[in-house]
Amino acid sequence: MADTKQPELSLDRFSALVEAYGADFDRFPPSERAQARALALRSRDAQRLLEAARAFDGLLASARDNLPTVALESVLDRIPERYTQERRGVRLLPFRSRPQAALAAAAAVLLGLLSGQLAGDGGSEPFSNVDTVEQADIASLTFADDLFDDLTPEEGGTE
Amino acid sequence: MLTDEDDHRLMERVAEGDAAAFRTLVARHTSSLTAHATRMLRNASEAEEVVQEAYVRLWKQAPSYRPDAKLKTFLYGIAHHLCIDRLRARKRHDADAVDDLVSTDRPSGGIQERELRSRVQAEVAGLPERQRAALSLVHFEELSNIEAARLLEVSVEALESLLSRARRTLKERLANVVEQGG
Repeated sequence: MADTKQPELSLDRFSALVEAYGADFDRFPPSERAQARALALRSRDAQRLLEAARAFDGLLASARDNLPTVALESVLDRIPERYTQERRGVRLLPFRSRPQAALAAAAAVLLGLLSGQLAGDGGSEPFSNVDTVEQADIASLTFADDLFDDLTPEEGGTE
Repeated sequence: MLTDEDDHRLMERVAEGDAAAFRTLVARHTSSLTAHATRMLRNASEAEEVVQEAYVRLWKQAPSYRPDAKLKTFLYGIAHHLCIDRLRARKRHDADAVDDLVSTDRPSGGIQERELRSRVQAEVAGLPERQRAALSLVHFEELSNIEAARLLEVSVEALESLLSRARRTLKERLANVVEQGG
């Protein structure tokens, strides 16, 4: 029978985890939580490390606050009414996947071209009576890759 | 209690223009988002501007949102990048910005409690930017190590190193408080 027991966590690694995450096992990487708990049960040194970290965690927790002001809450409350006109790619139909959306967009274009031909206005541009902003919105339907376009990417690496 | 699944469902409704769903998301995430931005920027009013901008982007971009990650991580990602932009602009335009630190303390709790909170917040605010970000995301906002590492664009090992250095520095700087408390 295969041995499914996880390898034991060394006290050094336990110490490194406590140094980084404090005494709360829920913050530990999930793959090491069980071994860390097991070590804490049997090792006095591990218990001492946890005890010291717990005191420091309590001190850190005392700095937790920063409730939003009423003014901010009120501004946030008005965002939907203030910015609805500026939404990118207003979702006209509930397309849940890119292929569905692409298919629908292609059908819309085909329909548009056909109706242009049938109308036979001989010379006017397709979509010439459509507002440019609307076209841009339709073109951006469900294409989500630009989500972070205007956000500056952060430098990699560490300090 | 709302779950991450609920967040995604709410975002589906926000994508369709549901203001009530948007307000539910705002109510759920604003406190922690404001706290993180305040820790990052060390300035409460600037932090509120960032939070406002993050939500405006969330609202405007909701129709193209895809649930590749937790909404919380996505929202923190927007706010965090906005904070970094502001910190960089501040560095460029005002090398003495650190002198302009505004207390992040709000008047609640007893005097001792307020003083202690103020002291710890000031020391957290004094940490280098990336250590401060790591500590804020993992210790205060309870993002998982994988989420925080992804947001900060570092490996989990690098995140652990940032966290360890942050805690070590704070322990040294707050040694007298720890001794008094212990």
